[in-house]
Formats: sequence, C-alpha cells, structure tokens
Amino acid sequence: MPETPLLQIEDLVVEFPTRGGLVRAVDGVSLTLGRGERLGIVGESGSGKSVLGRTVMGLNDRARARISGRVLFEGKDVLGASAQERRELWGRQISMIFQDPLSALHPITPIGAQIAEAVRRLPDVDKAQAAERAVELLDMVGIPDARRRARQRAHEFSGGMRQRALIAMAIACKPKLIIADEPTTALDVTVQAKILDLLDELCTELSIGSVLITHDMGVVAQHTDRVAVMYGGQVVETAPVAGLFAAPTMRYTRALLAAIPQMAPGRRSLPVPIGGTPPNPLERGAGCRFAPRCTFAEDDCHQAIPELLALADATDHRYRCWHPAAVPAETEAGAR
Amino acid sequence: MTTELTAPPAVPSGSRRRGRASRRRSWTWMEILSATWLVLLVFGMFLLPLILHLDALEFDAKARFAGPSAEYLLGTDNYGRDLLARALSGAKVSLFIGLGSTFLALVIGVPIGTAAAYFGGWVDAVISFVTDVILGFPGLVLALVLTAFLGASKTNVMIAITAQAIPAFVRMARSQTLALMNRDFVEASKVLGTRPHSIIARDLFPNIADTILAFAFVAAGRAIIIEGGLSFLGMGLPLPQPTWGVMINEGRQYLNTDPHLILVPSVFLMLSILSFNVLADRLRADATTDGGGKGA
Amino acid sequence: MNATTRETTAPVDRRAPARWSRVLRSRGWLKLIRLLAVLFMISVLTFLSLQLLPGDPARVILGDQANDPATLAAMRHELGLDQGILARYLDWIGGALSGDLGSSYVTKETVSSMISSRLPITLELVILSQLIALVLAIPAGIVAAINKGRGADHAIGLWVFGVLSTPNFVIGVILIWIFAVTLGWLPANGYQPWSEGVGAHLGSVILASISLAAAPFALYQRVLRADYAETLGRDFIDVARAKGISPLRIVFRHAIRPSILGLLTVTGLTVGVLIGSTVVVENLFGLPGLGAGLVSAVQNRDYIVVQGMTLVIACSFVLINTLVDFLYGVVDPRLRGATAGNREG
Repeated sequence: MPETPLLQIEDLVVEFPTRGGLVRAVDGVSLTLGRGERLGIVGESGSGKSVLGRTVMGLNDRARARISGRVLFEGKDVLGASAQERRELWGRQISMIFQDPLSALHPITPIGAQIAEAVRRLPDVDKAQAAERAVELLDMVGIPDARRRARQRAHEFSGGMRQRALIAMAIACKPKLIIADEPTTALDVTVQAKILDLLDELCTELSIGSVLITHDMGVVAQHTDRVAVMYGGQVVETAPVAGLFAAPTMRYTRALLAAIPQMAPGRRSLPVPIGGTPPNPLERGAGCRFAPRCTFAEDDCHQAIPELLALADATDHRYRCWHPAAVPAETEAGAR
Repeated sequence: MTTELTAPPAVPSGSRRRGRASRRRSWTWMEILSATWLVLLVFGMFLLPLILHLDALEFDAKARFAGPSAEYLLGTDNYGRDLLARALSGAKVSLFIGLGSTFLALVIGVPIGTAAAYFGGWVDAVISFVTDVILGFPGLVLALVLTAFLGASKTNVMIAITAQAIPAFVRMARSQTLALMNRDFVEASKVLGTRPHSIIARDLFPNIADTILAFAFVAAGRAIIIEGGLSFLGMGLPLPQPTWGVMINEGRQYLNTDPHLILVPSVFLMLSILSFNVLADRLRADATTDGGGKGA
Repeated sequence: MNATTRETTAPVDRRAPARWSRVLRSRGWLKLIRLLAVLFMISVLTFLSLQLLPGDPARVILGDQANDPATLAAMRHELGLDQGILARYLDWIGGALSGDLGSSYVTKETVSSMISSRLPITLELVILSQLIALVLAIPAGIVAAINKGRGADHAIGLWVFGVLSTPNFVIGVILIWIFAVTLGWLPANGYQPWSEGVGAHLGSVILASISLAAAPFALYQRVLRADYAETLGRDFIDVARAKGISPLRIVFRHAIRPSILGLLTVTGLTVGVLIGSTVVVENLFGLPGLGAGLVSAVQNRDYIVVQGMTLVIACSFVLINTLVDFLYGVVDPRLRGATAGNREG
C-alpha cells in the first residue's frame, strides 16, 4: 500500500451562476500531489487555474459557487468539512500565497503583527513569543533589519519585500502544503526569480508540498516537479516536468512552449504566438476545448472531448488530444 | 480569479452616450411607486381642488377636528379646514420651491464647478474658496438667516434655499469634471486642438449629466426638507398660505387628541422626499454602471 | 512617507505638481492660511448680513419706536451706523475676538453670555446624537455588508431609506406621540438641567437626540455598508481567512479599520448638518440651546443676537471640519504627511 498522498483532487467541478448562464470554471479536474512534491498548474487567464486553487483551499463562497467532486487533504475531505474543521486546516496545514502582495497585506496593521497573528495559531504561543517569532520569520525570508521592518506597514515595503512577508506568513505554522497563486506576476522580473528560489528553498527545508499556479512556462520548468496544463477548465496534459518539456504531446502545451522566446545559443526559432482568444466559458463547443484555436484541428476534434490518456511509455504522462504530437516540437515545426 | 468570470462585458470608454438603454435594469416596484406618487401629486394638486371644489382656507365651525368623511376626505383641522385641500396647497409650495430652487442651483452651480475643474489654477482656487466659505454655514442656518434678513416671502425663501444648495452642485460638478478630465477621450480632444468651450459642451457636460441629474433629485428632497423646516419654525411663506411644515407645527398642540392633523402633512412630506430619494438612487446606479460618473 | 528608505513606494502624493508646493502643503501651512481666510470671510459675510435688511437697520429693529428721534439715534449709535462700514466691521470683529458680541435689544442680555449658557446644551445634543447614530449604524452597516444582496441587507436598506427620507421634526413628532403622549414615559417638552438628576436630565434630551440621530444614522449605515462590503472583497481578507483567523476576528478587527475612513469623514461633515438640525429640533422639544436661541432671535428681529450666534455656529462648524481633516491623517497612516489639497471635492 502506498502512503496516502498529501492532496488528492477527484473529478472536481466548480460552477458559478452568472447573468449569462452557468459558468463552469473548473471542469472535472483530477490531480494528485505527494508529500513535499511541487506541482505546477499552468494556463492562460480564464483557464480555471486560480479558481482551482481557491477551491482546494476551500475559500470559495459556498453560496455562490456550485462545487462537486472531492478534494482530499491527507485522505480527509476538505469540501465537506465544517467551517470549524476547515479553519483548523487553514494556516496550520495548508496556506496560500496570493498574486498581488499589496492588496493581500492588511493596509493598516504592521507587517510583524500580521505575521504574529498567523504564528499564534500554534498552541501555547503567547503574544510576545509570536512577535519575536514574526521577526525571526521575516529574517528567514531575507528581509534585512527585520526588527525595524516588522513595525512597518505594507505601503512602506517594496513589492518583493511584501511578497517575502506573505511567504513568511504562509510558513509561520510550518504547513504541509502551500498554494501559491501567481506569486510573482505582480513583481519585477528581476525579483521574480529570487522570490521563487526562496519559496523552493523554504519548501525543501521544511518539507512543504507546493502548488504553484502560473501562466509562465519558464517558471514551471525551474520550480516544479510535476506540471498540469489547464485549458478551458480542464487539465489537458499532466506529466513530470522533464517529461513534459521533452515530449509535449497535447497541441496546446506545444503551442504554449512555442510561444516562449528561446534565447539559448544555437536556437533559431522565433516565438510563435497562439492565435485567437481564450474561450468564453459560456460558449463552449462539444469538442476539444482548444480545437477552435488549434492549427492542427480536424473535423473530429470538434465532435467530442478527448479522454485524458497516458503515454504508452510513461504512465504518469497523460494528455487530452485527438491528434497528439508524436515527435519533438522542433522537428515538426521544421517539417512544415 | 472568479471576478474575471462574473464581470460584465467591458464597455469601450468614450462612446457611452448611446446604446446603453438596452442594458438598463427594469424598474423595481419601489421606483414605480415613487414615480407614480410624484405624478399623482402634481396632477392632484392642480386638478383635485377644481374637481372637488376644495378650499384650503375655508373654515367650517361645525366640522372641527373631523375624521375622514365624504365631504372631507382626509378630515379637518382645529378650524374645520379641509386637510386634503391644505395638504395639496402645501404640495404646490413644496414642489415649486423644491424643484425651483434645485433647478436654479443646478443652472448656477454646475457651470461654475465645471469651469473650476476645467481651468484649474486661480479660477479653481477662488471658486473652491468661496464654496468653502458658504459651506461654513449649515444649510438650514443659512436659509433661516437669509429669510430672516430678507423677509419671508415666496421669492426670498426660494433665494435662501437656492443659496444653500449651490455649493453642493459646484463641488459635485467640479469633482465629476476632474474625474473625467483625466480620461483619455478628453485628453484626446485637447491634443487635437479642440477649443475649451466645445470640449466642455461636447465631451464634459453629456458625460456628467447623468450623475448631476441623480444629485439634483437628492437636492430636491433636501430642499423640501429645508422648506418644511423653515415653515415649521414659522419662517417660511407668510400665513395664511398652508404648507406641510406649518400644518405639522400647528397640529403639535392637538397631538394627544387628534394626531391625524399631523399625520396627513407628515405622510405627504415623507412620501414626497422618499420618492425623490428612490429615484435619485436609481439614477445614480444607472450613471455609475454606464461608467459615466465614477469617483466622487 | 519617509524618503530615506529606497524600497518605499508612496503612491499617495504623486499628483503634487511641484516640490515646493508639496512641502508647503505637507507642512499644513496652506491649510492654516486657508482656514484663517475662510473664517475671515465668514465673519465679513455675517457682518454684512445686516445690510440685507430693507432700509435703515435701526428703524427695522426698532419697529414702532423708531418714531422717537432720540431712541433712533441711540440705536444707530449702538449699531455703529454713524460710522463708516469699515470702522464698524473692525469694531464688531474686534469685540467678537475679545468675546464681546454686543447685547440683545430685546432682553438686554449680552450675546456672549447667551451663547455660553446655550452652547453646552447644543453640544450635548450633537454629541449624544452622534453617539446614538454611530452605535446603531455600525452594526447595521456591518450586518448589511456581510449579507449583501440578501434578505437582511434589503430589510435594513429599506428601513434606512425611510429614515433618510423623513425630516427630523417629523421623526421628533412621531417620537413625542409614541413616548410622551401614548406611553407617557418621557416628557414631550422642556429642559431639565443636570442638577435635577441624571435621569431627569437625560430624559429631557433623549428624544431630541434620537430625532437628530436619525438622518446621520441612515447616512452612516449606507457609507459603512458600501466601504465594508468593498473591504470584504479585498485580498487581505482572504489572506486572513487562509491564515485560519476566526470569522469574528476578521469581521471586527481586520475589516473594520480599513472601512472606517469614509465613516469618519462623514461623521465630521455631519457635525455641521447636526448643528443646523438643532435649530428645528431644539425648538420642537423646547430645549434652550443655541439653535432655539437663533430661532427666537430671528422671530424677535433681534438681529445683533442673530449675527453673533450665526458667527459662532459657522466658525465652530469650520473648525470641527478642519479637526476631522486632521484626524483623517492620524487614523490612516498611509495618508500621514501627504494630506492637504488632494482630497477636496
């Protein structure tokens, strides 16, 4: 018997009633994450990746969202949990890092106090200890002069430092899982890599599993172990990171990779943008979600949604495509 | 995020003047009732006295403190005067002064406020300063003192209420214009060399009109409250003209025996102000969903 | 915002046009000069109001007695009409600054002693009504915001809208009818000083305070509901939830402070409106405050008293608003040091 995985998502469906109709933001997603594993979820805006993250966390407004399927954290159901049980989970077991660090920090409470508040979730920590621990945590995430900085407020921090502070808050109780929703999108490129390195380092050190939600294939390549590519609310390809980059199979994954500028010496290919716009969730056809934009789409692509199938030689590499690319991307691009 | 999915379709800015009617919400029952009340009141105050031969000033010694009857639909007061007739006569005063002073304040205040925002600099500084000075006097105090010195007459009450309403319109128009000035299409007009007055007329006024109109309804409600307050204090229109405030004031001493003397004018007053406020809220909601009057 | 920390980003004062003017503004000098100028203009306008009287002010004030030349001359001297207008203003404002606003023609009492006996009652009414309005509006606003779009929100909203649309003297009459006439719990009219006992005193002012509180209550509820609902939609609330903070703590600690600024501003601005409203409400409840004093002075054509009281009311209004503006910066540290000019209109 293998040990229970840290996080299991089974056939998760999230729908929002809107004026235009029912929007299915997440459509039958199943994923598994092992202890200390780093999972990347990639997709364009509107692919449902952020909703997925919030749902796993249990943050969605239950009155507004219709959710079915299962989310198991260490084998225990998160979605069915009572508000009290869920609150036990939050911060202590699972924490989350948000996209815009300025709006994610309380505008008036000093940063140190915000972190101390998270620390106090631990049993037997008094106020003074929590404040002290907050300074240590700020120091740990690489904020110089942490003691003075702890007394400052969010607007006195730079973007990168704010995100560091949020990371400090997220690891305050040494959770087992961190969900990071586009943690570096709002930051300068130069700061991005540092923040992600820090996150990696801390997760390894404290053996925290992570779900990194991003639109950036480059980030995924360097900071995750496994990747799930999302499109139109579905997982369209999932594989270990090396496998995905070695043999991108689903056409959308391939298109995403082709859209990255290749700066390595010797490479000649220019980035190829993906034509068209992300699909309107209210106007989905019967077929493959990517078919309307796919340059390789044939008639059958528009008829039915392809199953998530495993590659013959790698069972943990699954894809959803009627006409998968069988050969490495460059060769094919050259042949055309 | 979920907001991306639920947000209404983006509206291209700049071309908002047309094509928005299709997106307007249907009327709620509160809004329908409010509009109906105001329409009925206007028709009622002109037509009912003619149809029913009402006289607001006629005494009927045999029917003092009468309850509602076929002859006096809403009963009579301490002198046996018809309460319906008096309430309708009061409606003429309240609506005339409320709408009239609001209209005057709008016509005077909005151009001043727009000019302040458009020209900035000294013009703005002087206008803002004068506005601040006038706003230093609470509205009712200003109106009260002005009528005290000018003498209580219909014109002077109107002047007093207009005077206290102007600064609010100036500020409103100023902040609305400022918010618009920073938007691309006004900038574009400037870059293209359009002259100030045509920018104001073509680009600014149509775009702030919705918000100003919504505010005018609030101001009308406020003007009626102040008119009511003045006449309640005996500083409104000279007697024997009945107004709602006067009726409430006169009815006070009969409160323990005949509360309907106060009930009738109070209901007229409350329903009218409520109607203006409900319609103002509606207009404001429309103005903001159109994207016209953001800010403020 | 201290400019020494390099990593600091201060988006607040980006609109300040030039460095020197920013310094001037941030120091508050401009505000102070402006405040003094506004007060000066208010005094001038109040002074000039006497000129609005048709004809000779002395004759208007004296009415029938104006036929006696000696009385008329005495009144003209009393009003300073025998001097130039500038000299008269300087005389009046000089007196005002030293606490002498003249004396009533009707009661012969000095205006300043009338004001000092009446002002405390008006202030008490204003403070009491603010407290009542806030104590009711804060929970009502929060409950409505948390349940935004649901039944409780609509019910509160409807109630608030009704209150907002009812003039304070109508509310006062309704309260008198319920609590004085029907139930007989409280006096309908008249003032009891503290010396008559705390219960008697509060009983004599409570209905007036509630009438005054009604409109501000409605306004505050609406402002707080909107701001609070907006705060609840912000990321840091999700972050707090994701930290596992209890919902009650989020509602009362995390969400309140960022939502309170709008409420604070309107609370300050409402002070002036309340002072205006006391004019009517004190009259209705027979309370000898400044507002009732102003009304009886107006009714008695006691113009010297009207001038003096108007000056005091307007100046205190302006000073209170300035104070609120100042407090605004204290409560929101993001605005500290960079307030002034940016927030008008």
